[in-house]
Amino acid sequence: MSATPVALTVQKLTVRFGGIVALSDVDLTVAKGSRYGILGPNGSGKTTLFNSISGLNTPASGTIALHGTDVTNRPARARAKMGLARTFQITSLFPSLTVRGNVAMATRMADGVAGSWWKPADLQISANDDAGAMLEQLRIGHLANRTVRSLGYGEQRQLEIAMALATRPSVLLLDEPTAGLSNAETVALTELVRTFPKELTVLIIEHDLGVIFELTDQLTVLQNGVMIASGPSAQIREDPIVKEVYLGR
Amino acid sequence: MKRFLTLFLALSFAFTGLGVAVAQDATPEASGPIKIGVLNPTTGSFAVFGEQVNAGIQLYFDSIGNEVAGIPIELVFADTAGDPQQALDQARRLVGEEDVDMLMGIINSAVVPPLAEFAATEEIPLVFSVGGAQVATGPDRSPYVFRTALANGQQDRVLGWYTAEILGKQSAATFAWDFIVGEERVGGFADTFTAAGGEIVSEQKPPLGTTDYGPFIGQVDPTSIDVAYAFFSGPGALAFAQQMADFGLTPNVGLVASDYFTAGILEEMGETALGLVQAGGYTSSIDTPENAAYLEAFAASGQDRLPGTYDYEGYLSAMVVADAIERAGGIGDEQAFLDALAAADITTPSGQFTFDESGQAVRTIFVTEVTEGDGGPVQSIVETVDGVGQSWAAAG
Amino acid sequence: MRSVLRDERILLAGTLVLCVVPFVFGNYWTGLLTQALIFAGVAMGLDILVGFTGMPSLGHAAFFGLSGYGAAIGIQRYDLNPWLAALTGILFSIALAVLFAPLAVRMRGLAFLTIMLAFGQVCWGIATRGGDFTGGENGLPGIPRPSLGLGWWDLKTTDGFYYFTLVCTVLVSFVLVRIARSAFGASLLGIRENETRMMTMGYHVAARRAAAFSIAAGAGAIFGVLSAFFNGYVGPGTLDWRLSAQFLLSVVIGGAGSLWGPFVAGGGLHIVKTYITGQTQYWPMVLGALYVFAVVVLPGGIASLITLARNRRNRSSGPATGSTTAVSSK
Ligand SMILES: Nc1ncnc2c1ncn2[C@@H]1O[C@H](COP(=O)(O)OP(=O)(O)OP(=O)(O)O)[C@@H](O)[C@H]1O
Ligand SMILES: [Mg+2]
Repeated sequence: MSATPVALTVQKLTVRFGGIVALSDVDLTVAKGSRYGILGPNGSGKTTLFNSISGLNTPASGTIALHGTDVTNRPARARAKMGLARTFQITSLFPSLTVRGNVAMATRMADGVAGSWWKPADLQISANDDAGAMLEQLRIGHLANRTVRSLGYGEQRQLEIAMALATRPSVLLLDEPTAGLSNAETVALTELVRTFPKELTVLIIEHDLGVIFELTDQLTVLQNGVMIASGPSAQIREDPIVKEVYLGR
Repeated sequence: MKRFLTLFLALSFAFTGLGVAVAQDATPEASGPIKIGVLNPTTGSFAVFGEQVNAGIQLYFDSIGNEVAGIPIELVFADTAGDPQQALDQARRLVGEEDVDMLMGIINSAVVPPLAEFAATEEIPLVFSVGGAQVATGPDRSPYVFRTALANGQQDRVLGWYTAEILGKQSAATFAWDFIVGEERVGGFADTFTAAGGEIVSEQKPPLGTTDYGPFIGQVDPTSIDVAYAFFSGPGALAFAQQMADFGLTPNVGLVASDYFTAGILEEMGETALGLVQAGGYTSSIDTPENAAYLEAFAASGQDRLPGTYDYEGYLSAMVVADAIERAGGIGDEQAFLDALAAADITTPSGQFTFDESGQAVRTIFVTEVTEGDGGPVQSIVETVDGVGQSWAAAG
Repeated sequence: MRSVLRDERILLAGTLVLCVVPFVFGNYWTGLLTQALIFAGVAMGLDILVGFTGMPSLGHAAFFGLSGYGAAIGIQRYDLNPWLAALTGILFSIALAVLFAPLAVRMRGLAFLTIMLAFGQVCWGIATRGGDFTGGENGLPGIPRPSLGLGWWDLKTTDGFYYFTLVCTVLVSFVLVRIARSAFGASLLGIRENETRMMTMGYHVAARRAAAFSIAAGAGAIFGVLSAFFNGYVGPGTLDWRLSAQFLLSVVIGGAGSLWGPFVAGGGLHIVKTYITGQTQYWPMVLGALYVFAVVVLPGGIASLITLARNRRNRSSGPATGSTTAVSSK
């Protein structure tokens, strides 16, 4: 066996919605620090896979292990506490709170003060301004006091990632981070992902093949819930089946 | 910080100003009118009754020129909506802001205990024009509390005795809505019925307000009873009488009832109403000069119907209050007024009226029976029992 | 960023103003304000559940009424010392909330509203059918007020009880304000806005919803006992869904999530209702129209008046002090 530790393992994962089989016997082994791409046409089960990993749905069968621990039956919050974070394909923020308030929701959790019920939260933030630092890092510091609702779409997508990063995860799931972004914004985002720490494991769902091949080292291709190819990105790129069902379009 | 201080000072001044204005407003005038707070529900499910009692009170004071012992009477009406909290809030407003000298009215039993409590702690005279909850004139009764209406069960005691002793019935089933008033009224009936040798075979308690009695009537073996007691009102009373007939109980089994089978309901009942026996504190067929005068005054107030219980109870309570004010020479000396109330002994349209030592009215009870009349069923008085108190029992 | 001391200032100013009431007003107003403070406190507590956590309840009166019943039954049936009975009533109500919470917090929106309505009606039913134990429809009159054992502070007097209620109100609102402003309070807002996100960030959403539910119930319970002592009476009306509706309406009209708004509206509605009821027999229509008007004109509630005023001020002085108004946005 390889010496690189495994961050995430998915085995024989099957997810059904009534009669629909959204995922069927999916296997995934993601090494620590890997940049892992998930590719597939619309409705192929990519988001469903992320939902299973993060604990938002109940698989019919199969197991999911995080850092070697079986988490199949653990709730989403427990997986989050083990270092899992994710972004959502459809922006999922706290619309009436400020940008800082959004990010602070994550940093307070990371700092272990999310349960404090007496000390004013804003004092805790200024004393240990993780939220501020995170915003600066993502170059949205100037938006800190804006309510999310008043932000542009691109800014919201950035915040979406900021919130996931702010929990200081060890495994990060990005669900179509560039969807709806302009070319310039996409380039900036690609740059951002590049700056992620080496030891952070990143799984990324993308339709933008440029982004995928630039960022990822491993790839899994899904079609109708079935894995049709999996392996090093460079190799998948040349796979004739993949070319036909996905790249050839 | 400066702005905050300014705001605070401004607010304080504003409040102080208001307070002074209110305080001046509340200064009692030495020889002003007597103010009576009348608390009745004029919205909600008791509104009809509240309006009738209000009108009855107004009618009596109008009939004496709104003046007693040379002092003008001013009525201040407030709506309880039948809700205890609102009744308390309004009672406080009447006493605290309107500065009334006493309270009267009430109607529904649920409001009786909290208001009795209020009168006791605030030391304000309170006369229940209607509102039967027994506790108000029970052992813990406050000297500030009087009730001119019948306590729950008071008329039923006479009915129980009459049913057993005069009608000769021996086994009864009781039907009453399942709430405290029903319980207290059935209790009164059962007490004297059993004392006179009768037996309660079955006690049925349909939920409050229901009009479907099938499941309850069905539980009673018709051959085991010779009389049924009913405490229902409005559409519920009518439905009960019809379903009794549907089940074939009437006419073999007699029907006796509390005084809620009103003229309107009897008319709807038609044939099936015949023979129905009721007991109550008032019926328009009382044949006395006092009642004749009342009927005339009632008609003169623009009514084209005969007065019912609520119209009369309002009128009666006003009469009793006015009489006490007259004898006490006003209401300024509260103790004198309370003493005068306690000593009431008046000839009213419904007979002689006094209070017992617990402030509960001692009155004449009329037993009526429905008979065939020219234009439909009529209620005629078949028995008159004077001096009935809240724990009345047949002599001997 | 909002000043940390702002809430404390409001609290202090409010307390000072309310302290002078008995000196300036007659007994009637003092009594009216006592009941108003009681309803204000309940509405403020309910705001933690409705405004912060986004769970509109139509059964909140249950916790208000049951603690009163608990205290009354403790005194009248078990001869408990009134203070002990009060504590028993409050703990009983809170215990019930804690027990019911796991079930309740599984519901969302309308389902939650409905299950709370049902919960309240069950409590109401038990109270009305409780026979002599609960006094049935009559309720339990004759609840004696406890004594502080201080000659100069007699709770049997209107002023004495007013100040006692004021002290309780200040303490409870202080605690509520602190809770609201804490990390826990912020997490409730997060749950209101986006439960899924909260879960994937590691928050125990159900537990926090249950905690918010119990905190609101706790405030209701404390003021429920005060109300029972103030009125000397508890009855089924204190559990009635109509009272629940009044509490919910107070939160909405006051401005959900602002704490002070529901406080002002909770007390204000009581005063307005008492006043209007005395003025016209058409008070239900007048009140109804007033509610509709308030909701239409001020969808954000009374609390939004302050935001509106501040925005206006910022706008008029905006260009001159542009550098300091980084907060304001388009
Ligand atoms: N909660 C759900 N209930 C029922 N069906 C669902 C649910 N979620 C997903 N599906 C179905 O499962 C299948 C996979 O959906 P999924 O969202 O995982 O696709 P995807 O690969 O993320 O697609 P896209 O590229 O459009 O985001 C689809 O047929 C979808 O309709
Ligand atoms: Mg998707």
